[in-house]
Amino acid sequence: MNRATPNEPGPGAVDAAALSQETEARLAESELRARVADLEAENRRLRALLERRERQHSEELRKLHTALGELQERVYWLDRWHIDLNAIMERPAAERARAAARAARDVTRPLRALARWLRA
Amino acid sequence: MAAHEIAVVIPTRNGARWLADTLALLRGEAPDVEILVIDSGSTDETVAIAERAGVRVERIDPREFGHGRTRNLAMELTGAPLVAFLTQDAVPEPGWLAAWSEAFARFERVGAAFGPHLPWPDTPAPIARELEEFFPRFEHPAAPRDPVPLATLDDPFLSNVNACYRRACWQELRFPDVPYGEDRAFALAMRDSGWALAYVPRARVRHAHSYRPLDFARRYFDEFRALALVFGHREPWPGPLSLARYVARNTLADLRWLRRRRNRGTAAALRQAPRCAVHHATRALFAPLGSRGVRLPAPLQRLLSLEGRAVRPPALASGRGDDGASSSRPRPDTGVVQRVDRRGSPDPYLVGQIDQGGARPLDRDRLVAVRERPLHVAFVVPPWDKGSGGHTTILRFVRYLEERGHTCTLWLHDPLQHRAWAWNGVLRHSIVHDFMRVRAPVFNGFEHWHGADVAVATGWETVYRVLSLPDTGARIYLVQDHEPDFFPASSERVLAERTYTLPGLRIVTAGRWLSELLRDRYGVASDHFELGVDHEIYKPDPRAQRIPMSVAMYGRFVTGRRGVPLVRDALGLLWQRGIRPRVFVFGTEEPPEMPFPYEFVGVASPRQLARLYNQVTVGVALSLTNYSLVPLEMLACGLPVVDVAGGSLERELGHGRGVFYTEATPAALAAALEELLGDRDKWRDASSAASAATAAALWGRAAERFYASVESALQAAARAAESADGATRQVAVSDRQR
Repeated sequence: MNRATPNEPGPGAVDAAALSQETEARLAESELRARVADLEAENRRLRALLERRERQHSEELRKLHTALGELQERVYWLDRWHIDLNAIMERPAAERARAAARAARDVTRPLRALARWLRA
Repeated sequence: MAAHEIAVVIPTRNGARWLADTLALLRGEAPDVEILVIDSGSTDETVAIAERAGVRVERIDPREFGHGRTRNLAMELTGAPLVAFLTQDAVPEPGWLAAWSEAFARFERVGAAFGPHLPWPDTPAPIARELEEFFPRFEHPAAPRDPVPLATLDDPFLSNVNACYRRACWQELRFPDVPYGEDRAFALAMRDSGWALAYVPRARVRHAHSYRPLDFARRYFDEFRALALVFGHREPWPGPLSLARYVARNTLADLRWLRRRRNRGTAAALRQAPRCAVHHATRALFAPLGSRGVRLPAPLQRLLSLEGRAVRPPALASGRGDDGASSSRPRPDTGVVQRVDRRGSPDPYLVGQIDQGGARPLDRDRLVAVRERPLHVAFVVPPWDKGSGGHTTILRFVRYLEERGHTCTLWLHDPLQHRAWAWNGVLRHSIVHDFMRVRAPVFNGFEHWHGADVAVATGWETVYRVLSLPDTGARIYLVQDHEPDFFPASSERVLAERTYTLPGLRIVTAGRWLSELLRDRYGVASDHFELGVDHEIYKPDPRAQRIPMSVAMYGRFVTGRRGVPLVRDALGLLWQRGIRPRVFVFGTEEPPEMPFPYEFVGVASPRQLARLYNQVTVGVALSLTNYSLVPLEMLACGLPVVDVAGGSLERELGHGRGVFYTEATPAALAAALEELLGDRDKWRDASSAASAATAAALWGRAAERFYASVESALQAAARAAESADGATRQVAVSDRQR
């Protein structure tokens, strides 16, 4: 077998270097392929996630529209007479009315409790 | 400002309450200005205040006073080229004198000018609000603080409460001797003589009456009696309902004004409501009474007049002053051009917006996974009336899409604000109760627009709106009729025609005829679907007994494209020939006038119509544009139909399907009706062909076709987005390579 000294490259040394380079390139390529495959898998995963989220969003929107349609039917008479209850209840007069109602309740509640106790 | 340029005249009678303030301000503005007080019998401090202020006072007998006569006297007693008039209860604001001088210096042909009246802090709300809303309409839109000459044909408002006159103009015209309205009569005379009238916003005075309610009423009696005498104005009597509406509307406006301008709470504002309501009610009643007041007996006039005066018409009609000077008699209001406040939107159909900025680009992010998930389809609809066929078709599609798991929304596009009063709940109620139950919420306007996978335009005016909507994946134009034919030569017709050629819309038509018309006339491609029939309702009823020689006639005359007069004349011809079918008129709210007796069905429900179609012998419901649902529903009930040849129904159904096609003339229609009514065998054949003809007309099929178009539109948008992405990537790669 033809052996080369350390200082003198033998006839197969060039082939070994090329082989090494080729191996490295193959390794790099397989790494790249693996990386691309990972990215594609990530891409597929993200696409699936996006589609799932889109479906969820569409389903939520559908439910929201259904609920909104039902609510619009419920407020027909308020809308018919252009009554915005939120705006009315934010006024100082409404706060006073609520306070009066609370005060009345503070009186009637013990009385009703007393009546219940007496009946019992 | 030179003091001798302008003189100030104040006629007074017991005006001490305001005079000191007025004189103090005038002296403060121009110490040497000429001021003349003409007093007609004051018993308070008026004369003393004027004399203490060092102004000239002329006393006249109260019986000599006249609004025109006394002001003519004042003009003669002063010498300045400009003479400003105030009433005793009008107190000028700072800058008053200078404002007149500036205005008259700027405009040479202005003969008289007036300024705004501001309310006092305690002026009743109805008066204060009226003043605040009245004067700004004279302002120039671009320079509201500058004096502005009013066009010679403008409504010549002029008030001597706060006015200024050029002496040269007065010398030419002089005030007429009328008991009231001498200022407006002067303005009319100016208009006839070529002098201009001006409004001077900076010449402001505080002036507003604060009478008791009954006195306000009597004041209105005086004012409108004078307007009737001077201008021939006749205020119409209000009906009970319009009176109630007028009072309610103005009282609510007063309450809003009180809260906004005087910061009153709701309770405090409401306490004013009865007084406001009484004010508006008395105004609404005493104004027409006053404009007829001159015909009332003198004692009654004195009782109703705040001035306590009765007026006789002949003395006033002469139009000549007591001093003999001629004053042109004011003409009635013919030729007066009124100033009209701005109303409406400058670009209601958004045509200008689309022309300038183009359509909004489609949103590519909307196209993610559109095939795998439910869609949101937004229908943009024009205003509707109960039973509208076009809206019924739209709602059938909405229901179909909802049944397939998609979600829909309805958006009312109301460019002319005909339905501005309707809140969303009212619109939703109308959809559910007047048409059919769908789940879609309804929105009046686009304030809450939240994007859609597909936006559907459903009428020509909605197209421009749909093109301007953001966050949209694809756009569809649902065409149910050739809408330009709804209009004569007009802007609406032009704008409707344009919608067919606007890019970015996939067009879907109701019927093949319409699709071909768009292709031939506008060169545009479109999908189409066939109108369906609700076979649950419209079907032959074997129990029903048909009435011999009877006709169901669609009678909506106001919809010109339905050719109702042709049918009326055809039936009239039959009557002339002695053929007298029983005619049932439906589809219209009011019984139309016909040259023959008939039975009026009116606007009927689908089930009532199905019963009618099963009881009569022949149906006539023409459509000179695209075909309608009515003949299909008649045919579905086994009722033969007469229609015009060469129209859309013939294109859709073809021959031998229970329809007799004929020329669009009364004689030809009459002949076809006569043939069907008289030939029993022919009628039987036509009836059996009729029910078979519409067996395949199903709403489910129509909705499927529409949904296929929706999917195609989305696919086309996705392809366009992908190709745009590819192009972008290519550009990016070539940029990197470079």
